[in-house]
Amino acid sequence: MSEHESNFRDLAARLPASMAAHVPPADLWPRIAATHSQRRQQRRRRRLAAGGGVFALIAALAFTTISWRHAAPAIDWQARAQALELQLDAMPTPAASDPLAQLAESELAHLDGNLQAAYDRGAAPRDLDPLWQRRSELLDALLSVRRQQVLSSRI
Amino acid sequence: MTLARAQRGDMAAFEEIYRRYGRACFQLTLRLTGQRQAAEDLVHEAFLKMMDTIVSYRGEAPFGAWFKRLTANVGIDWLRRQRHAADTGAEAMFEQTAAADPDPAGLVDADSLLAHLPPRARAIVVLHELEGYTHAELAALFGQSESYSKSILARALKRLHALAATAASTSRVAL
Repeated sequence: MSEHESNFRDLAARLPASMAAHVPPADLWPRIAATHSQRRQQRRRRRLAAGGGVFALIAALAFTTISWRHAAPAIDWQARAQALELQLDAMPTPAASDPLAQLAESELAHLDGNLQAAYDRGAAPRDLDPLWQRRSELLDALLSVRRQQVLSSRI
Repeated sequence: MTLARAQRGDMAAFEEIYRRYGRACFQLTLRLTGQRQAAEDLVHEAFLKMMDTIVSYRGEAPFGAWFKRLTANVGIDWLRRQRHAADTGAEAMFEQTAAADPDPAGLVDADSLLAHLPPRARAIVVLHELEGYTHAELAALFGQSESYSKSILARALKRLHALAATAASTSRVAL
């Protein structure tokens, strides 16, 4: 190919300007605008429908969760604490007390005082429940320390 | 200012963009397709696409260049959808159109010369020679190698020069 053939711009420059009117039809923009508006409305409708669907799903989930919560039996912290205390009593008393166990025992004694005071003033179950829950947790911790001590003494 | 309004979905701003770029967009699609109706459809498609994606335009390139590229991509997608522009080798592509002997009287300007190229060759000439696409970019756009794009371009330019020479000699005879 010769050098003058290598470029379309050069060729186009040697030819007369295009005779055809390269102008889009006058109604093209109104058509584009109409399609765009139509699509926007469709999207809005779809979003509304999807939003409605999501709302219904959330509502259904919330309803199920609330129903489940109401249906789920509440933990009887008092009974749990008493059961743990029985387990603790059944364990051998360690020769030397662990600092963690001492801490738990001291908090237990303080908590027992609070519990007694609550019963004395005729506290409602919803006020007593957190105290029994805390007692249950402390007994659980104490039980773990004692188990660890038993294991260590066997080794 | 107009772009910011367009990014908020303001129809008046879109109309302003159309007034400014609609003609250039149409000329590009017309050159790519060689068909007025197809060119209109592609302008329609390119503007709708622009209106949907203008939110993502961050101003890294001038808006005109960004929109031109979007239009070119719409044109290439159209070419891919055309059965007659299906992937064929350079040889076969030009053989298919060689059979149709154009009327030299119709070869009056560059655009009418372009109309006598196979669709994909026409797109490569327009994008490379007029829109500044590199062979690497064209290769990626058409899913071909760079040498494919170079080969099509070389053959297309040869064909265009031959057509121009035919037209020139005919007009001389006529004179």
